[in-house]
Amino acid sequence: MELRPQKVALKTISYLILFFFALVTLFPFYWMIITALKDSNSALRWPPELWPKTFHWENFDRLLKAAPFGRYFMNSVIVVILDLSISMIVMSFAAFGFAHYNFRGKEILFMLFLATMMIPGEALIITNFRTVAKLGWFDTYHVLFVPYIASVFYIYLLRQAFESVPKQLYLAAKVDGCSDFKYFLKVLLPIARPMLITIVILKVIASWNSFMWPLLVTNSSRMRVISYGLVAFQSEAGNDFPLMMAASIFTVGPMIILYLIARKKIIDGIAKGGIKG
Amino acid sequence: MNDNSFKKAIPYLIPAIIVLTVFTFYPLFNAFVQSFNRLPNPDNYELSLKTYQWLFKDTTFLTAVKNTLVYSLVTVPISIAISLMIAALLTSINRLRVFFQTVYFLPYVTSAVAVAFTWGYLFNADYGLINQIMHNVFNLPKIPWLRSPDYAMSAVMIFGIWRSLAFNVLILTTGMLSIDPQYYKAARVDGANNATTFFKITLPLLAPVVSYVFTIGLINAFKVFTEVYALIGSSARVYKANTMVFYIFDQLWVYKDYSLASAAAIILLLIILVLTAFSRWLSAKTDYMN
Repeated sequence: MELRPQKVALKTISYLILFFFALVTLFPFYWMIITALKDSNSALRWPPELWPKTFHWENFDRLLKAAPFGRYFMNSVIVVILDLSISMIVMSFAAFGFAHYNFRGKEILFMLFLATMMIPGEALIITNFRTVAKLGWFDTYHVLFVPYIASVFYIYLLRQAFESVPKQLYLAAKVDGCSDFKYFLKVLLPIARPMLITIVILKVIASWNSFMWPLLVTNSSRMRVISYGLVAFQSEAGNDFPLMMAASIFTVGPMIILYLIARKKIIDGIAKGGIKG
Repeated sequence: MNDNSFKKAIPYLIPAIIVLTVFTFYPLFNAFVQSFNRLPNPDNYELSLKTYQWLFKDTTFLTAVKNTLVYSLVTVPISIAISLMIAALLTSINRLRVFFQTVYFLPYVTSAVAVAFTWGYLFNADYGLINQIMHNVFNLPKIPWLRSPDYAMSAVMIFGIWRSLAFNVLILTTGMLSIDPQYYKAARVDGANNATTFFKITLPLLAPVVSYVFTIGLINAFKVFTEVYALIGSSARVYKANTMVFYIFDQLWVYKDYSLASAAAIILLLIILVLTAFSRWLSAKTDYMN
């Protein structure tokens, strides 16, 4: 067993490297939180405070007085809730239509749906920008999510989930006098629950973090979502880094909490084929 | 029977069909048409190849293409190399693996904008930790990371690599963990060392997964925008950090030139289609298992 010390050394080095990269990953978050609690001058000084002597919780009060982050935050919450409730209906309906019925041209239609996954959203934004302008949708809640309520990738995942349910269940439901819609609602959706939850979580993250589209289609500060509010605040904050970092915490905080609660769901969902970033 | 089934299916399909038609199929078609429109105002048409000629003479666009290429070709291989190492180390340990995985994936779920601002603070010329350490500890000159044509792109790339590790590490680790342990047992019987096992067994079996993260990485890298906008700001052009999507955004938002924006978007679309086709070919070629 002369290999032993070598093996221990190898393990130690492995852990050291892993800890190093964990540090690299976490440091910006640590710096964000710690800076948010410093006073504005000490955030500029050398040597930096790695742990503030006093915690300046009043930075959050100052932030809310400087810019309507409460409003931005609520706008984001409202958009995420509206987005989820409508898109989950649209997507699960479409998945049911594809999974449950057979009609001529179905697979061609589905291929057409799937083909859209290759198109970068950036190529569509140009026309969509004009479409929503013509519809008079600027500065509304619905403009922020309606173009994205039919994510083909999630329709695809849901179709697979629905198709994996044995046909016998449908026949049994039919015998009991169940309509197709009732079967969808009472049988299929409950069975597909794990997949639905995964999609809901991934959609929440994407909706909350969306940036370019809100930047284009909202002008008034009343309609800003949090990511846009953050960018707009940057020019006002200047070198007041604690305020800037406090504002950033408002933006990343909810997603970090969601991640810590639903870590396994999120990681499994992405690992199983999170094609859409 | 068939027609009846179609009638029953259509109420379920129609909402998605309408949304996709209005916000995906029509804009795709329209972007294509607009890209051949000589007139910047999209309500009048005069089709010609002029837009593409202008586009390829526009030095701003050419810089954007160059920057996008550099960004993609630098960040993707570096990120995958680091991710492969992390994934190999992660699969070799048992204790704390879940902890490390949780940590590494964090940047994926957090807003790029918010994290970019923290990096912007770290990169700040006067008050950023990076320059402070370089200056006060190593006595090096301060670098105006975000306010100089020489360094802005480097700062964006460092941030881009940091952010992309999350996805790559997750997919590669999952791929490595799903390799049948039989192969490793056989290798150990044959007396193969760690390095040999990694290069002769892990890597070949992982090739389809690597080609997958490589393609996804390239596609996302070609679409890089938020990283640039949040870190450098709307003046990215001045600091030579503008990218293709940044160019599209600029044409659309600042100059209201829909034709040039469309033409640039069509070029981006073509690049992505080629990358997708390439990845299909690559994954078919590298899949030893099937």
